[in-house]
Amino acid sequence: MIRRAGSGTLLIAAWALLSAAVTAVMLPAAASAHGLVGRSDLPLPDWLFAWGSSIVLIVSFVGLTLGWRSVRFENYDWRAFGGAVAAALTGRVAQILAGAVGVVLLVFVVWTGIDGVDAPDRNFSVTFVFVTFWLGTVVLSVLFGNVFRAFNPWRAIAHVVAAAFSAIVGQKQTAPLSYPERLGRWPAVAALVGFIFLELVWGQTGFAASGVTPQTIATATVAYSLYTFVAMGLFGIDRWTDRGEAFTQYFGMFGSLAPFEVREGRLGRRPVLAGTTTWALPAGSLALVLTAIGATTFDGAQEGVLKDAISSTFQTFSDAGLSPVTALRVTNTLYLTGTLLAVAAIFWGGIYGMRIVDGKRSALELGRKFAHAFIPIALAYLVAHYFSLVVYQEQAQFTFLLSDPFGDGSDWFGTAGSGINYGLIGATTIWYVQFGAIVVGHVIALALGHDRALSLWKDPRTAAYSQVWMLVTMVFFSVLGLYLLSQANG
Amino acid sequence: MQSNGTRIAALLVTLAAVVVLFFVFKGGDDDNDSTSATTEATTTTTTQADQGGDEPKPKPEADEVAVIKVVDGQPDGGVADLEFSKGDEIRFDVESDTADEVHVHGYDIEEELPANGTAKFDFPADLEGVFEVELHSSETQIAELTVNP
Repeated sequence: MIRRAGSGTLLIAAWALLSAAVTAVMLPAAASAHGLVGRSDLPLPDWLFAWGSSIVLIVSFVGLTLGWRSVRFENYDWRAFGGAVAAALTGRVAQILAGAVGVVLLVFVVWTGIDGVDAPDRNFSVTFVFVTFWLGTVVLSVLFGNVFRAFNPWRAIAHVVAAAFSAIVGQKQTAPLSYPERLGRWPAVAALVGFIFLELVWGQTGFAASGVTPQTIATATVAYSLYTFVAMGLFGIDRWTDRGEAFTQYFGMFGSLAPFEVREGRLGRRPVLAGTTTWALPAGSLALVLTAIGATTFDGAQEGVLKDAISSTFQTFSDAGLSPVTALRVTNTLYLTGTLLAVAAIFWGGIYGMRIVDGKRSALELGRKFAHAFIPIALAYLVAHYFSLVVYQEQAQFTFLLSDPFGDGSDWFGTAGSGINYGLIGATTIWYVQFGAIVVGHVIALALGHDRALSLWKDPRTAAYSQVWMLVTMVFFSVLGLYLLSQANG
Repeated sequence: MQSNGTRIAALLVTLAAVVVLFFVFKGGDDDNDSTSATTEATTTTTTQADQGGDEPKPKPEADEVAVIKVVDGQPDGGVADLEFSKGDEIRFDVESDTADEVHVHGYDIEEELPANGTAKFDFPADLEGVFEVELHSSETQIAELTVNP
């Protein structure tokens, strides 16, 4: 009985969404372009959008009715790797090397940012920070786990300073303050929003010409470094790294999908995806996932779905006497905030629906319990929106930005003359990657949500019923992801 | 009573079936859609240069070349939409009252634009995607070039 009701609700919701989506594609497609990149993606064609949405719906429906009956990912096994290679990878030498690489890159970003040319596309710092670091590290994390923790330059510098200090004073220093556990990952969320603001609002349309300059990047990097050192000094180096340091937390979120995990200094293996089940325990984790989804949503929407709304709001501020740059930044701040709130509202809608199954658990508890299931969706959004950007800009990173990072005409490795081959991937390849990312991300999200429901409500029927609501939310995000792609060029 | 394995197998089979169906029907959908997309493009694009109508027909001659007028460093009538298909010959002219340089991103083609003169563009559409056409001095976008596959 319960199950029937559940399926009925799902069908109605599914068809409502599908019809909304079909109506949506009748709207004319808008398109604009990034400042850094010479080529933007063509909007996802309507037929591919329709197929993507249908597959998402069908798979969700089948997954719900067939849903498995025993928990698969929770309380997973972790087995340490034996052998010298695994030991070396987490050993002292590897840590020092990784830390040194991180520090060199950090210094180089600041140096090129200050000393290099103003043109964002010819200065190492802009492409490195927003593409190689911000997007490339996500790829590494998904494959190998939270690798950034090892390369974290702030942690490396702080450890060296602390070791030097202890050697001089002759005693080990302890952190003057204990980190309040209530704060959880919230400082990381705040810094993440700051980074996104710098990229998408200050830099306007994806760090365009008049937005983020290399100098701004250098300033922001120095400011964030100082802030991090102070926090590490107050709360302890590793404590801050494991809670408040934005990038370790952000990349670690994606790293929880990977089959590798370090425990007590030893590298080990775990089932793929299982790491997510424990990732979302600290406070603020949910906000981190939703912020990641919201940021990509905004970047996609500002060039398509929201383009007209943004330009009319911009006009209003402009007419009110603000300078064009200020007006655009104020406008984008409002729309970014709105997008983040909307994403959170949709998520909470699904959570409140779930409370129908179990009124004893608070919405906050349920929200935290299911936050991890949205990590694959956050990843799918990133892949779908930035795949082509990474393919183009990494060519720049490893050719002219490598040989001529300051843009001053030098040619260190003989690759300064090479440019970006925009013909490397065709429009259809990009479409299939986008489509595949959203569909696969949706299926994984579904599996994680279902698994968590089974571990909360041992009865598979209650679990399936609870997942109707989660599913509607996930279907919404997946269809929204495809819709944004069909309307804009990410 | 189904076992977990059976359920997962059923899910995978369904997914596979949907994907197979997708590729079976894709061709037809693709054709249908490119026709409708072309129709839409023809009706919504103002400075259409070189696009066929809804029926495949011989390419129009060069007398239909789009002209983008630049007045005081701004595109007259807003950012122009240029739409082509891969393999077409991309042709458009830019006229301006002030001297400048026109830059087509992605293709990385630059043409000098003399004051009260015209810069003529004529190159093969071999890259798919959306590209900006800018005035070099002010980085003002004057056209958006779309090349469909």
